[in-house]
Amino acid sequence: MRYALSAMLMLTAALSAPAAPPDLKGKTLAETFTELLPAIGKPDTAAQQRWQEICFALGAPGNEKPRVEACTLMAAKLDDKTPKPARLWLLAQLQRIGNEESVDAVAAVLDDPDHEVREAAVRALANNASPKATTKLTDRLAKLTGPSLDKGGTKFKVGLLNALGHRGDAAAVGLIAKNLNMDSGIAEVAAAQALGRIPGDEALKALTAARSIARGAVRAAVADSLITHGDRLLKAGKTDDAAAIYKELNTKDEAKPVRLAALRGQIQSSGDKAGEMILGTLTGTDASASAIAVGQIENLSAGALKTLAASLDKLPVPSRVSVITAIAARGDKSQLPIALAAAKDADASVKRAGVLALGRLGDASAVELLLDLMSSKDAVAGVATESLAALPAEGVNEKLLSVLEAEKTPTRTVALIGILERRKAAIAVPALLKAAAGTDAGVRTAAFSGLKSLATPEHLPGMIAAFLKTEKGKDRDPAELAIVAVAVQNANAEKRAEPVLAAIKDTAKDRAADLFPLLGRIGGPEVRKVIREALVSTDPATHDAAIIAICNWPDVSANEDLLALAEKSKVDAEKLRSLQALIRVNTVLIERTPEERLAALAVMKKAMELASRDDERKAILEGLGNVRHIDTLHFVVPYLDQPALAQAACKGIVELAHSKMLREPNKAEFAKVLDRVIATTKDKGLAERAKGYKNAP
Amino acid sequence: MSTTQSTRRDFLAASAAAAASVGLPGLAFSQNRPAANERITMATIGTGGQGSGDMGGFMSHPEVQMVAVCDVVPEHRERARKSVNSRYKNEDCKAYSDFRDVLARDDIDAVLIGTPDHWHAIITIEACKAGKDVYCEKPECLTVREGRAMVDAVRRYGRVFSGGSQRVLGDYGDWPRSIWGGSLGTVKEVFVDCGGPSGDCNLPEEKLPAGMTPEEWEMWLGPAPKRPFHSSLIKGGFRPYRDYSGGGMTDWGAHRFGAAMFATGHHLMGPTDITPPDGKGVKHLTYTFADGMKMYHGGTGDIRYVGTEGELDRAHPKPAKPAKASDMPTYKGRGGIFGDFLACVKSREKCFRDIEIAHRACTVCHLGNIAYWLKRPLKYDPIKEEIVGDPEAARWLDRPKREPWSLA
Repeated sequence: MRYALSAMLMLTAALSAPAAPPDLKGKTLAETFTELLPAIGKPDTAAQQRWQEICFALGAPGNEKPRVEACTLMAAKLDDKTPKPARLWLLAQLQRIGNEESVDAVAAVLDDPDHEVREAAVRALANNASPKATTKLTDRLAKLTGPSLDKGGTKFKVGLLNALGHRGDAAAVGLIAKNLNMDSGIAEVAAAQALGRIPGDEALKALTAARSIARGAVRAAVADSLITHGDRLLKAGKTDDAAAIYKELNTKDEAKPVRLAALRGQIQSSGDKAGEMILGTLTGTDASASAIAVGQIENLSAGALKTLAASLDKLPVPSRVSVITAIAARGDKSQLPIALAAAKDADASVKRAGVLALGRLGDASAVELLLDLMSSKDAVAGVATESLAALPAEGVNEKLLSVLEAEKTPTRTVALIGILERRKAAIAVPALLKAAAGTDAGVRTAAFSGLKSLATPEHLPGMIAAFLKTEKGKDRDPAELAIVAVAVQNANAEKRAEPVLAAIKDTAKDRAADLFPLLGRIGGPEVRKVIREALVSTDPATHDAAIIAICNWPDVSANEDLLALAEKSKVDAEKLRSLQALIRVNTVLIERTPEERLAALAVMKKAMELASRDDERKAILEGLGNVRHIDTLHFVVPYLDQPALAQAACKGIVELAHSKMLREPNKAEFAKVLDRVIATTKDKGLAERAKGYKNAP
Repeated sequence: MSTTQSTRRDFLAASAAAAASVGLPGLAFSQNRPAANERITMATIGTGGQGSGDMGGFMSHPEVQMVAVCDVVPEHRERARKSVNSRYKNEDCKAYSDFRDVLARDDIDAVLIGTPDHWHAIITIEACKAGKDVYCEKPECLTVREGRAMVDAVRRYGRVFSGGSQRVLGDYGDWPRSIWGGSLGTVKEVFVDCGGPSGDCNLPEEKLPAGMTPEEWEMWLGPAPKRPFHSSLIKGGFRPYRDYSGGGMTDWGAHRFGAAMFATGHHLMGPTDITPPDGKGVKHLTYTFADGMKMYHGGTGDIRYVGTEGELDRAHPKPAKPAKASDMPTYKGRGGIFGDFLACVKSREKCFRDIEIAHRACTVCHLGNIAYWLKRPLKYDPIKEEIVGDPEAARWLDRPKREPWSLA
């Protein structure tokens, strides 16, 4: 807190509209306080919360008179007749809203025999806006002198010095400075730090004088405070004064961090000459100093940057790389020539830095060069791709699109599509639709990947048409996923499948079946009707496609159909596939209500009965780890006794234990079961997790 | 500093140039670790749940060598030491209970701070003074003044700092990029959902756990007011209490307000008005920025953006209008926010969650808390970083610290 600032703000507050006083329910402040005081500091916090709310409200502008009254009431109860917890709590309130009226009473506590109470009083005064608080703190500090201070006394002294530093009141400088020259160790450090927090010449002079005699930790604190003063002066426009401090501290007598901080200050206070200073540092041998110098390039003046850029070629390669990178980080497009020149440099590291810089500083004119580099066998090809993806300028997407439309080579086409996708270039969608319907499977896959990111539901007809050009086992799956991703953008879930249903109507019967698996991934009531019809179709292709569709179903709404298939189908492959689909949708980790978890568990119990292979049984047991219900645990635990399934049961149980919400209320039961897991599992990592959950607080 | 250590650190600084801005491409995912003197040596200070998780994240980067762990809770400390040694298959990791002993080591380049919130500022500032780069978990500070003091220390000592809010880019995918690319036009309103403010701590006294000394508990409290031990505080349960944290407002708020401010380009600004809900016309705590944008604390469990040309939230994850390319800042290097920090340690660039950005995000959270606590609107000058016209509210921008700690 700064006293001067507080005074200014108080003045402003006085001009503000009065705030509504707190509702005391017909009682006076004194009556309310007297009623609440006996319960303050007690385990039941209702009374102190009530009084605290009153205090907070009284701190509002316009409530000055009742605030003074409340603080006076609290101040009167700070003596040792009040229990300690209540005294500490009242001091905390006075720390927040106390002013002149409470200074004397709080200062009296500075002599309390209880260190904890004294310390709380120090903080209350540290935060008190009255100048009298500084006087009281310095008076108390003056009494704490000489080498006879015990450990507690030194600590208290540090607290007083810190409080004076917190207040930032120049009136305390003289006494603090005296403490800088006495004792040794933490009190002197605290004095040096306090002087750093107090603005003004007097504190600066005291620190400057102390520097010549200070050693060790005290010297480091003095130096840090001097740099703080330097920074304050620099911010205030007193550049020469700041520069003098930095110069004084950038010597070998100081610790390395101090030297580096001073060097930073020197560069910042050098204006246009900072370029030369950075060049000098970068051609030296101190790598840490070079790192500091590079860090200052971001804020250099135009003149200093010009100097630096003009001599770039004279720097050693590592420094050139650093400078180019730092210049790029400024984002100043006028420095594009530096990036372009570097991108053509013979040295590989400089070239790499230049190409990366183009990604930040370049415009559409850099596209050709980056494309050439991307297509070359040059080591920077990958970096060029990164820069093309990042290039922020206007016209770059249009330029890339024109190149894509003219491109004949599949490899480059794929790369260009990837770049446009990463650039979120929605203008590329028509070109991507065309590419998705092309003849090259690699290009089609890249195009669908781009469409997945960039297309919107109105593009679905085009995507579906292109989908029919894809080949099963090659590029069909990614195309399906892209279409589903775009379809689910439609907020109306029931309308999502409409474009696919429309396409089925318009597509020749022998190709329509190709669209069924896609329908299954989207789901919805309308789709289920269509799929159910197809499931009973006598056309084998349609039936098979419907099986894939229902097994692709995205959620539990097809449980009934899948269970029927798993139970009644005469084809083993269909049974297996539907069982696997049931496991997938019922054990995926999603938010479920307790009822939904129980429903999923019931389906998995049925699936367990229907499973004919251990693979599915294991998948059920592992997957049930995501169905977080205590009944699930009861179902899984017995499988620990079946050697073939015990490891999967262990995984499921540990996953259930992962849920704190489930584990906490059933801690004892989980502890026993986790012990069994630890004894059973062959997976060391799983055993560690089990131990962690068992011992978790 | 020994000659060997000096050589190693200087080598690292020099090799930084060669790796500048690209984070040693391919390195993070390479099976071949760099030579020992090319690695970034790190220490973890605060090895509870979040700290140890972050520590694992950093150790997965082959260029990192974790050499020390520090925690006042013996169980956390020992678990972390074992974890590091198990990872490297040696016994080299040293364990400390006082962070100052870690900072005194000349062979450590950077520290990961995963302590409770009330320690973040002091350790960050002391680390900067000791010449260490800093990765600090969010919320990066407990008060507005702490945040500014951290910015000053990072800049003064030329250090690289990253806050630990991986969710700004990590959780919200393409939203910031989309908004920076103009997909919503001008964003007029943002709804940010996260927990509420912290309050007083009245936990009863418990016995210290076996192995933990009174001095270690004293160190856990550090700059916070003295109080008796309670086990939940050392097990991550400190967040509801004002002396150690700003509650849900600063916990998830540091992520989500930070994300909203970044996405809308307000990440280097602050609000001018903070109005708490009044049970009448003001439903949500409302921040008003100088350009008129309103940011509300409340909504539907996440972030919702309302722009002149569209909306964006979990229900509308893709805006109707396509985004143009933008110069939105993003991570340097590879491997998310950890990779960003490591790349910047080498290149000396500012991290994605640079201290100024972290401070501005936390400031919003703190101002919201003050308005909630005091139940009155605040006016704020985001340039001077002062609450205007309400001196008692302004006191909450800072808090005196318990001896011997201070913000110097």
